[in-house]
Amino acid sequence: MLDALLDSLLDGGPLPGEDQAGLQPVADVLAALRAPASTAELTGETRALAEFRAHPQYSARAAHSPRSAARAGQPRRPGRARRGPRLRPRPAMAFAAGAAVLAGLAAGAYAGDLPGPVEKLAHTIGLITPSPTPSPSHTQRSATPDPSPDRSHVRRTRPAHPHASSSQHMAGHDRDGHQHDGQQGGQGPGPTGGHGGSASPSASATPEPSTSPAAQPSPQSSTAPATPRQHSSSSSSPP
Amino acid sequence: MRILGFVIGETFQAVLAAAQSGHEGAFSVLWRDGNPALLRYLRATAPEVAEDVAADTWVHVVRGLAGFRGDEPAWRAWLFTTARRRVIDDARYRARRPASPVAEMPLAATPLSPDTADVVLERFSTSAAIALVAELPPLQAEVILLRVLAGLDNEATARLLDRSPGAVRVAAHRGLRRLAQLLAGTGVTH
Repeated sequence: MLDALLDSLLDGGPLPGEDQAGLQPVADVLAALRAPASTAELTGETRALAEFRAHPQYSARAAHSPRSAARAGQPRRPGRARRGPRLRPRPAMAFAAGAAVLAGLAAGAYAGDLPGPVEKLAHTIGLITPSPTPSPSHTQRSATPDPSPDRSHVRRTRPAHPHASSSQHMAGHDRDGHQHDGQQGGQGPGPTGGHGGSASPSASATPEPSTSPAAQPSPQSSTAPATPRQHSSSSSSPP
Repeated sequence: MRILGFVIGETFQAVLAAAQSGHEGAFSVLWRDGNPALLRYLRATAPEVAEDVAADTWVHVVRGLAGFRGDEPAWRAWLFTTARRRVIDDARYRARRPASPVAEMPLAATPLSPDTADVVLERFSTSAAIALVAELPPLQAEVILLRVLAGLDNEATARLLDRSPGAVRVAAHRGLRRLAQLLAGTGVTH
């Protein structure tokens, strides 16, 4: 019985109505230990905050985490409504101008109207196929895969898009050595043990594979990067 | 009355996350919740260096804050574990450099320990209560302080002190009984 009373005292519980054990003075001492903080016990806060601010880990995080105030229970700052595209006007204009230049270069190259140095540049960046005549820039394009139907040497983990043409269909091997074709929806085992066969190709999270950039001179080629090596770990469904 | 300990409560995880993200206000919440209890614990266990050790404890807490994972009881256990280690380190440092004889005095004989009669007259102020608990044997005093100030349960206190839960419970009960005897000896029985 006494032990239960003592445990209750330590836990901050009240004593029973009749204090037969004479523990009320002890309860008073413990209550004094639990009294609210005094001013003197809060005077070191400035120093502690200075240590906190000086620590590079928190000063850097505070600079990159403007939402930390909301996490502390403070009201969120009203968000600004989006007025349009995320891109600012100047970068968008620069992008459009660059795309127009590239398109013009490609058109001129096909028409054979480009001057020599410009044509060499077009070869280098892969806008046009190499000319029949030997050119030093021809060797720089050897890293780009040849868009031929036979791509068994290409290591892939994702099947081709079901609506892709036959030239784009790839029957390869994923990184684990599993052979699969473009019609299969499997994605291979993920980091958590697999989300494998449940996802359909149209629901795959990876972008549609594209052919050589030379076949797609339009700006839209940037939305479908050609990445022969694609990981199977990404999944359409969250873990 | 707001009881010292577990003041943060349900919002602890949000406060902790904000502090780990660099929010000073959240860190202040943690500090204001923990520092008074920390100071009281140190004033009973290392009275001559309580302020310095408390400041040093928060330096170490700041360094390890980002890596801390746990609920509020775990946070308080970590805070007091850090403080306890700073006390031990300070004691070792002073043992190698005995510059002041005060450091070798037993805990109960420090100048900050008032007479028990004074404790009665002061009607159990916080400082008087700390001084009274400091007169107990070290293990009994520390167990009571960790249970009451840090709000740790018996098992958490046992882990912190590297003792068995049974030994910690026995020490706590003996300490409380001794407190009752000390207070009864002064005629305080209400």
